[in-house]
Amino acid sequence: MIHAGELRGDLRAGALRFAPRALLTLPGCTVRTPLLVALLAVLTALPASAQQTRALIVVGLGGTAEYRQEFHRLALRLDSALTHELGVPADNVTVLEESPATAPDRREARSTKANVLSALAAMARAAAPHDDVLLVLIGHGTSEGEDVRFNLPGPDLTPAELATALAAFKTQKVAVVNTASASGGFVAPLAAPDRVVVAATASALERNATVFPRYFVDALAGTDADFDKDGQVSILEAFRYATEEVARHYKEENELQVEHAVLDDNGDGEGSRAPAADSTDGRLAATFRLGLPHGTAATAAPATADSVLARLYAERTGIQKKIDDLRARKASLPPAQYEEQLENLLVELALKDREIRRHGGGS
Amino acid sequence: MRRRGGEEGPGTRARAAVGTAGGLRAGCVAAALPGVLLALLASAVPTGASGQTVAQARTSLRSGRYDEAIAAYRGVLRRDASSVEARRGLVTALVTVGRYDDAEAAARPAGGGPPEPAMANTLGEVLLLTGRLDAAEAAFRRAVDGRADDRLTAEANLAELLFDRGHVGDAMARFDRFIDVYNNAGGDLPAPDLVAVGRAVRRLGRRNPDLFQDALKAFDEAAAKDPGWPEPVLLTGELFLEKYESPEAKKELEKVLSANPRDPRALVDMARALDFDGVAGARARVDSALKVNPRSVPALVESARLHLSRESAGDARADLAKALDVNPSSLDALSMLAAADFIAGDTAAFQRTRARALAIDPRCAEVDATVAEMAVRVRRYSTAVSRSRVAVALDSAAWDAWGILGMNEFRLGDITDARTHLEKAFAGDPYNPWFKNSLDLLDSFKNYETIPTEHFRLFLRKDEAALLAPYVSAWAEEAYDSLAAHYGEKPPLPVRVEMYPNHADFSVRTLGETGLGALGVSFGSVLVLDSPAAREKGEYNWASTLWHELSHAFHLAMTNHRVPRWFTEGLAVYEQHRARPGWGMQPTIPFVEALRDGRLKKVSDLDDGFMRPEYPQQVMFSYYEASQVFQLIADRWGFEAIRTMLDGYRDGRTTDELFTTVLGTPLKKFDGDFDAWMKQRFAGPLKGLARIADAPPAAAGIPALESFVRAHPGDLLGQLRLGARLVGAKRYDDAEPHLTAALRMFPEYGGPDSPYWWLAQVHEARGEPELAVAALARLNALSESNYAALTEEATLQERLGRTRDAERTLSRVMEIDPYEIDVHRHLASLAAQVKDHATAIREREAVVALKPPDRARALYRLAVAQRDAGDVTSARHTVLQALEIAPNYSDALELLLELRAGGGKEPANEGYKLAINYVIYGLTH
Repeated sequence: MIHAGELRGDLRAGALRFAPRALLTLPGCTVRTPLLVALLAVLTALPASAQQTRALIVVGLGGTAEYRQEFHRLALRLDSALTHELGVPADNVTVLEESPATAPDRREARSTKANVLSALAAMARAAAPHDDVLLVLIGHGTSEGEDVRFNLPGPDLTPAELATALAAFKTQKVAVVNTASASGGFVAPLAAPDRVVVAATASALERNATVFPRYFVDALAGTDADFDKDGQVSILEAFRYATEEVARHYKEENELQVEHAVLDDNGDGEGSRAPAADSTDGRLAATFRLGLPHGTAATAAPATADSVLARLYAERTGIQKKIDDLRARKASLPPAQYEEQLENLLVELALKDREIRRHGGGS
Repeated sequence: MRRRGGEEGPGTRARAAVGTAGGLRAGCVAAALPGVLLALLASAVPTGASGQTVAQARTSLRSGRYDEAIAAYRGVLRRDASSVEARRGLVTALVTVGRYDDAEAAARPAGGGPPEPAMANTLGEVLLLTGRLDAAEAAFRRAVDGRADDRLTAEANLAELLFDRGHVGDAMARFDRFIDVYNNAGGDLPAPDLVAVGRAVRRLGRRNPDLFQDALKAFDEAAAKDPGWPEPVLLTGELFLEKYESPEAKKELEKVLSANPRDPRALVDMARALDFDGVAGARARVDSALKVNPRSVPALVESARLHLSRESAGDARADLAKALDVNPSSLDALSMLAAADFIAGDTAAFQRTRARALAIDPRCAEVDATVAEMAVRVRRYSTAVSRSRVAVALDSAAWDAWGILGMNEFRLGDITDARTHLEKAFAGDPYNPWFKNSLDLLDSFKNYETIPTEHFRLFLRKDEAALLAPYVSAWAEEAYDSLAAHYGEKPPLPVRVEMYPNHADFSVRTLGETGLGALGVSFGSVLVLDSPAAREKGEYNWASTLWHELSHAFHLAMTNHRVPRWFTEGLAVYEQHRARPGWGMQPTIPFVEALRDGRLKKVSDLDDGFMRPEYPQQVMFSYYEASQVFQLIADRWGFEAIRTMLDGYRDGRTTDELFTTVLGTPLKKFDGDFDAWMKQRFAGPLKGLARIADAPPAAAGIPALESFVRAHPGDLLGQLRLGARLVGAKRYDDAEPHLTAALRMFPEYGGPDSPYWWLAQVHEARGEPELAVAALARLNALSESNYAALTEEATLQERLGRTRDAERTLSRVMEIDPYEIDVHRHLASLAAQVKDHATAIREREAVVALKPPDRARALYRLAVAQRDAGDVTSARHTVLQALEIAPNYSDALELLLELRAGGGKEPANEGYKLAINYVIYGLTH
């Protein structure tokens, strides 16, 4: 186009001023393809018994009594959510705190750098090849120029040190959730294939204390973030829930938002603020569910000794798979045909659910 | 030196160039000639005793002591009649003060006969200024052929004259030769010759815009060679102004005016720059110029332009008659007169004037382009399109006319042609920021969608279209029905409503540049508004603004775009007042103070309050003041009188005529009647705002305020401030009497610190929610965008169990900020409780449109609302959407079964079905 290039420029260098042109900045496309479409693509045939979730929760320096208390509360709640609501075996969850004495039954050691690296090494040794690994950092971060750190009692933890430790997980899927200030500086150094990296801030320059961890933990501990109603909260769902709540928090407090969480799971080291299952980032996070074998549909049939229920569960799973198949073929079907088939399958599913409930089963 | 290929004349030979260019107006104007005459002075080299006096005379001339200069030059000539420098200087001084006959006499040989070559160019310039074109041309040729020392200036004058008479090929070839003159001179050209080069190359810029920068260089070099000479500085300023750089232009003009505050040309140029910027002061500059030279054609033309902008065609024509008396061949004056004739509705005079101009230059586009430009100033956009089409047919390189054409096609909603013509204009004039900005905005239109309703086409950005469309369509249609019933007529349909979530885009859409402070604009049947996203919460009620702009569409249609600005603005605010309590401008304390101090415009001058405000708040005051004019007319004469006046404007009658014939009151008398009525109407607050010498400062504490109020219990601000301070100190019982006292004085005051706001807090603190609600309801009936007061009123109503009232109140929040997802959820819940299914559905749709993370749940709740409304079909579609996202959503699965079992009851409201389809399926019609 004629006007696509630069203007002719100044009549006199530096003298000609054009009215400032405000550019339209559109938010990223947020049209979502149903998550399960993507989920289907990564379904694997791995036996459930071969996969477990292993988690390390690290609480850094609080600095003040208020933050120490808040970080401790969050760690406690996350630990409880993992081991109770999400069914992760207690032995698979390690918690390191600034003051382990505050919960001696669950806190193995103080959260020094040596202990953190040691715990990760131990997890790597214990982990089966297809286990899922979750690392959550709760605390403060600092940055100065290129130098970014997570504050621990004693020496701080750097991204490079953490990346080295995580390299031990050669076959496992890993999710690192750094909820601290300046955590954006961890994204690029930690990015790797089969790895989800979540940071509470978009860059190392966002240095204020964050509210992201409270909402991220809320998401995992409750059901509000279960947007696809499959009974589980994926890392992606938790991220989206938390970012929404963080924005609401600042709006309600009438404060300028000083933290913008990002998620990277395609390994390029560029975090996305609005990841989605069908977007640049978000595909892996959408399938990363805690407490269930990775890649397994959350609607997998529950174990039961009742043969009728077992049959009904199996039939329901079959319907669900048909629905997933249909959705995967949506683009190739005329809309009316797609909708008709979808409705028929959903009605079938609804009726099957009723039948299951009549026989004392659940969803 | 840069190398360029010429685009006309010899064509492709490489050359280095300095140059200048002329836009359309410059191409037809001889306005720069007095400055050129000055150039002749600059070339003079003082010699001997007479040289000393010439220098003194020149000093007088350059400092604006024109009489002294004339006397000094005459003195020199008495001693040495052969002094060419003195004769040229004398001519310049005489021309500057408008003594054209004397100037001509001074330029001619004392004994008669043809002019000697040395004075031929000077004589030619006087002849040109007085419209004798053939004689001027002959004189210029004599100077050139006679190899006079100012022959390059004469050559430039000759080429410009040829160009202005339509001999473009000859003229461009002559301009082109100046490039060689410059290149061959090796930097030795004197200042006057550099100016001639700059003028020539500036004309070449119409085909090669890069040459404008070379023109600037030539002027800079000339100014450096003769630092005291105003000519190159003025040319630089004019070039900047021509290229839309008024700050730089003003810097140059200030240089000239600091040396000579009486320089008529600099004063006129400065007036143009101020008018360009839309700030006050242009009229004063023009008047100053006319004091020096009452016969200055450029000053008279600029004066006419200012009159015409005020829609005073009669005054404009009077000025132009004077201008044409001096110079009957002035294309500037003829063009402006044609515009005045056209705007006055005098078609025959327009045709005569236009024919006069075209007889001088058969391909001069300036006449039609000027008509187009001035038509825009009085909101006649279709006229601007038609005249600029004629202009570009006459001269395909009239880039400003192409731009006017494109910009106004854009304003009229003809997007495709607008883009084409703006592209063409920008190619020819790549310095134009309006063309650039408008084209950039057009590029962004792919992000918008058009949604049809019965009478409208809503043009909304895609990411907020689903949210806004249901609200905008409902308000637009209601406003249309109301206004159509009120006026009994309708604008051309459909009306296009564009809403921009970025205020800069709204501004560009309206003006082509950023910085417009308005909220909305009506181009007739194209309305352009900020979307609510463009404004801070609490400062904008988009529905009220939409109503206002649509009112303009009716007024413009009914008057064929001839309604004066103040009339349609005031009437539009009056319509807002009719539409909803609290909408539109409301009386404020500063407004009443302005009334008290006589700072409001008279009705007869109200246009100036909008277009040339004397202080920043005057525009806002003028809106409210104008609305009260119609309140008074409606009260005394009935609305039909207003309707009749609109018809009168359509028929070309003036405001004064209409006041006299329709109201039986001449406008001047109405000024007094209205002032008296206003003072009676606001007698209470006027009394409460009477000036008191010892009034405490705004930040005074409670004791000082108490003391003041004891002494002055009738002081509005004292009572209000004390009441507010006491509320802040939680002394609620103490606060109440002061607030009620303030209320009694100014019961219409609905500002954010209204007594009602503080009284609501008093009542809430004392556990009197009913009274708090009453106070807030009153406040919200006096204000259109008090978000906090509306949400608080709704909260209290809900607490009192007045669910339907709470629902109505919360609905008003959507006129201010429809982006709060929790407010939509809450309103949906309230609506469901009172079985207002339509509102419940609308609000659930809004939740979906706001893209909540839990989209499945939002869709499910929308489906429930649709089911509750009996719209089973839509509910089924919606719940399927939810289940597509979340197939195991048990509540949704149950709803699906229920809906299938419930049969196919059709929705009662087809409009909502349509709206729902927008949301769910993203349909675009």
